[in-house]
Amino acid sequence: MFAHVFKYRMKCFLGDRVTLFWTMVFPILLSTLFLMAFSNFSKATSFTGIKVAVVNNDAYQENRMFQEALDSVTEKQGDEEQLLSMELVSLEEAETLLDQGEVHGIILLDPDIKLVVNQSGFNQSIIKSFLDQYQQVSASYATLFQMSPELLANRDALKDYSANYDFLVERNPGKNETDITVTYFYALLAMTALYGSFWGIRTVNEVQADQSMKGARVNLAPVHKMKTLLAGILAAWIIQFAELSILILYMSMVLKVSFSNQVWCILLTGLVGSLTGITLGTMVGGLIRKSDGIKTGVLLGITMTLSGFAGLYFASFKYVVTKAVPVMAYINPANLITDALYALYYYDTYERFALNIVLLLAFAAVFCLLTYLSVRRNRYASIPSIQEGD
Amino acid sequence: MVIKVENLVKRYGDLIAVDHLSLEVRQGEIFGLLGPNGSGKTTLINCILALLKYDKGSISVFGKPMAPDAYDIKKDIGVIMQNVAVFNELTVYENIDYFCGLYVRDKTERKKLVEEAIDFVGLNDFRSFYPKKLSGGLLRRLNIACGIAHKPKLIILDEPTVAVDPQSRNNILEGIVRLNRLGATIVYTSHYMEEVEQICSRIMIIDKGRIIATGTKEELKSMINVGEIVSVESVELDQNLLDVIRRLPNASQVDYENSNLTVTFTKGRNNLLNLMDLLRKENISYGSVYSKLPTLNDVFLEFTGRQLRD
Repeated sequence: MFAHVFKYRMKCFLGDRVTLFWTMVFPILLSTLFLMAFSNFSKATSFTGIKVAVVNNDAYQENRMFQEALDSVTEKQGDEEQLLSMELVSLEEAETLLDQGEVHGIILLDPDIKLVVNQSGFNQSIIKSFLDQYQQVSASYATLFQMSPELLANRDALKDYSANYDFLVERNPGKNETDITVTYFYALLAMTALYGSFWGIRTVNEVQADQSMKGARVNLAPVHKMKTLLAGILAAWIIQFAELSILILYMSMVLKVSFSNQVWCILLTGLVGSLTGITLGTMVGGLIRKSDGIKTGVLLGITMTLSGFAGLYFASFKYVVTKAVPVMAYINPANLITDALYALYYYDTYERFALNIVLLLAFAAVFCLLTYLSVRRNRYASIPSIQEGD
Repeated sequence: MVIKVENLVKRYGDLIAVDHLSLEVRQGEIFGLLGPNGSGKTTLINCILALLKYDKGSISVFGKPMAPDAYDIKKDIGVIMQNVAVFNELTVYENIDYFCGLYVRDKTERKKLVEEAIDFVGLNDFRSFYPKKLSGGLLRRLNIACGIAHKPKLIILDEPTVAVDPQSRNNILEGIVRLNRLGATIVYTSHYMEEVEQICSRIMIIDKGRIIATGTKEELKSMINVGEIVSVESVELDQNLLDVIRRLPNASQVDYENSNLTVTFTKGRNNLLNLMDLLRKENISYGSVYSKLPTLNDVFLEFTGRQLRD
């Protein structure tokens, strides 16, 4: 019986083009639009080396250590962007470049290191930080050589010591580069998972005699209503999970959105997120005894609000909300889905990911319980006349 | 007894939808439940089917108390609702198979039953069609097939011919009679008195949740005084002659409008002959003459003072 109902629930859902559009095609279109919008955004925010003119004089030529330090921040190393973009010029040329705004500052060794700038700003601060750090390091070297002259002869020891210094290289606490745009894509995935609630509404409507004529037929048959409900939820879950997986594949393979390499964990997030979405729909469908349109409207409001709080509209909103009301991070299923994906992407440990998954499962359990309590009734107080094609 | 309802009361707030109603449906009959819209027919059916809570009374089906989890009773009941309840994403065959499968687990048996149901409602040429491609009449037939495919012993049809064209309506009515001949007990609700009169072996007329009358159509008609209604078209009469007509034996009501005369007679012999003799004696010319026996509408009218379709 369960297999029979499940088979036909699958067929019905796969033939429901409207819901398929909103739960699969629409998120794919939206993610493509996001990519188009963010391609300009990331160009605007991508970091390029700060242009600086270095005066090529005798002091510079004699200072090998400073030259090496400059090399370390002007040469591209792996995926890391260079910090400075250097032009080695004469003093006159450097001044011309600065006047024309071609460079942000001039580094002059006279013999002490000087920084000449036209204005103060973010880039100028970075150049100054670099120079300050260099001076600190070179002072340390000088002290070291004074205390242990034998080090001058021991180049390997010197190499080890200098290797401990990185001049202003930005590092993430996590394993991947920070990319603000993934917030939007992860929030879109969370929204899609919660759109599974539309399958949930349909599933619950079609087992309730006071919600649809088909529901009345199910209630008249010699089969337990919960069995047909469970078969429907399982069918909806499989379809929603498949849709979400397709979206993740599309984002990852076509749009090149960054995800963690832990595929099974990402799939687990999709699986649990889909279940949470579907059970949210069955709960709303069971508790609200109004028309389909009203239920859909309520769910649309809920999913879009929760997705908004998870950073769908403004990525920073997610952090503002979490900072202002920390509990929101844990009571918003959309936020839990995005956080689970973040945790996989940024962190080396699974603690945060596991917490999010457990909380999502807890939500699904609560939604299931409320669905059961609202649907379990055997007789209805009234059965409104439901029009054909309900 | 297939269905036994005793002293049933169902309220919606202050409104009493079913008011201390009792009925019995016997094995093998086509039991008609006739009443105007809002008379409580569908509420009564939903109570019998254990879909609705009720305030008072008892209901038993096949001799056992009816309850939502009375699956041994439910497996022998087929219901055809007023509104079509099929899945637009499934074909005709799949829809019937789905609903039949809620009653019959064995695949081979189910396949046979589905084929028989398709054959019964004449949807063989449309088995792979989706419901949206079917006309209203064909859709109703599919709805019926979904309700009867499992070969129930009791079939309840709640206004199955609403908004159906005359050809499909006849097809549906013939099908119901055939199902009855095959052994099913039928409960048929309608506000169309002609349909009920045509197919039902016993009829209950209800209004405002109360029983107005119960019996065969002949028994119901015998409960009222109207024996015959005679209509005469294109006849010119003066007031004196109308008074003479009113004094004819058994004449209970005389209406004259736009040269058309309608005389309602109580039961008696030679009512039509008496009227024709009078017109002939007075040398009155006239057009067509009709004599009509009382209908269930007349029964309803006499008991409630209202037309059945009010």
